[in-house]
Amino acid sequence: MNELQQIARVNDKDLAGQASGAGARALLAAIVAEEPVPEPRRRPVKRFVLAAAVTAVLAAVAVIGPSIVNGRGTATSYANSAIEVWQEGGQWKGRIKDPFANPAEFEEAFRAVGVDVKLELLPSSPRWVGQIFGGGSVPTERMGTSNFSVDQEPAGCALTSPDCTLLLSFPIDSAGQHLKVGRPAKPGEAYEDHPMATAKGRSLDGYRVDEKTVGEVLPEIEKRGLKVVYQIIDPNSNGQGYGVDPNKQSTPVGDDWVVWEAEEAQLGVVRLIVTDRRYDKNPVYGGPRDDVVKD
Amino acid sequence: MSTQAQTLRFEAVYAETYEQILGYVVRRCPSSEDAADVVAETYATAWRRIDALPHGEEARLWLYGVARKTLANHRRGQARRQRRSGESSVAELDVDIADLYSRTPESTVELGTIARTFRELRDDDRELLSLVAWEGLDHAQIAMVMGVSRNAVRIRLHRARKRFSQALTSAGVIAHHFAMESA
Repeated sequence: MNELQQIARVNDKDLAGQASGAGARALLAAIVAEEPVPEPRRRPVKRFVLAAAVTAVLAAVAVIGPSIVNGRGTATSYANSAIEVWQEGGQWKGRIKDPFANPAEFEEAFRAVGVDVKLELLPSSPRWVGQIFGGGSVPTERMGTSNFSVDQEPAGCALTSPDCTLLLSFPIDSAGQHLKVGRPAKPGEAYEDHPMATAKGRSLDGYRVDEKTVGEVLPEIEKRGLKVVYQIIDPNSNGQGYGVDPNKQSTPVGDDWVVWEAEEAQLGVVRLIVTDRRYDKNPVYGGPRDDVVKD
Repeated sequence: MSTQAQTLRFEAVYAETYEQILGYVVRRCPSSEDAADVVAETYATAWRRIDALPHGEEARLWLYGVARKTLANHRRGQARRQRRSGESSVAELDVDIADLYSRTPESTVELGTIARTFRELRDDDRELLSLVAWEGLDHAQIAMVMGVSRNAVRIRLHRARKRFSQALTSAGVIAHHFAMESA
């Protein structure tokens, strides 16, 4: 049994006999007592049209009683130099005006309107700039991050430009959320996401490092004007995946060490994932990279 | 029109899949009341769409898909407690399911950290890893539940495992990747 199974609230085998329990039988009886009439199909297009009407109603509610809407009798909009927060169309909107701002400013704005959401703008590789790349529910809370969206305004603008803002949208009842959104990294800042460097359009586009030695790949990396850092990994004995021991990371890496993949570490720097010897399977992919990644 | 054949078929599928669908929902719902609502709504939807319910093993996968969407709607608060199958039946279900929530799983500090890290993953990563570890599904089965291609499942699963591993490392768990393959 692995750890993920151990953290599950129940396993199916613990549920044997539930189908014949009183609750399950009552539910079945209640369901089949009704005609299996299909519900009218929900048409997303129509729902968008409806949304305008709903917006008007919600706006009215917001005016009559903000305490009903956010439960704390606090403001329904707030702005500081980093972010502007307001309600619109049954959602919270947040216009991030300064992605490099002190995180305390985002916190201040959300607190002022009674929203329990933690927003972090973190240096990321270009892949995730302006997008949500991590976060999730704070433990014990129930809502997920899938209802959060971020759009660049104007679309496709460069976040380093002062005219470019990020518009964050999420449901009014969101609570206990932690959101990591990528912003451009400043020189010397490490990326908080870990994108593969060998994919199309990345630092090592067109160059495979997997299963080569450090000595083999370094010349190509240097030729591209990139620097290298290493992550030393301990492959699992079954060949699937690996662990990382933080205490081992300062071990000097030799030219004969084996490279399994490269990640973008920061602007102009790639991180090679290495071991001190060769293994049968690439631990990053549990086998050949070609089985997983289609370039 | 409900026919006798439809009813019999539905009862058979219900008996066959109830415990697995219940397990799926209980593992994902924070409270027993929510779980009872989602189980009830999942099967009520299946009954309304009995003509679309596939036969054999695929019925379970299809129901996972329905439960997944029901759960998502529930989280969004759009489901407005659609207890169309009768308040009393769900009330009894509440009691049965509440019992499942009263059990305390064994726990260690490390498992606590793993559980927390797992909860903090992106929703789609967590769902993919859960379908493997908890429901024991393979790539093709997950593809059916999620309505995406097998190849997409393979790639997304790989990325999810990678992000989970990175998150564990950041959380200080020097644990190795889990054997997250299905048995």
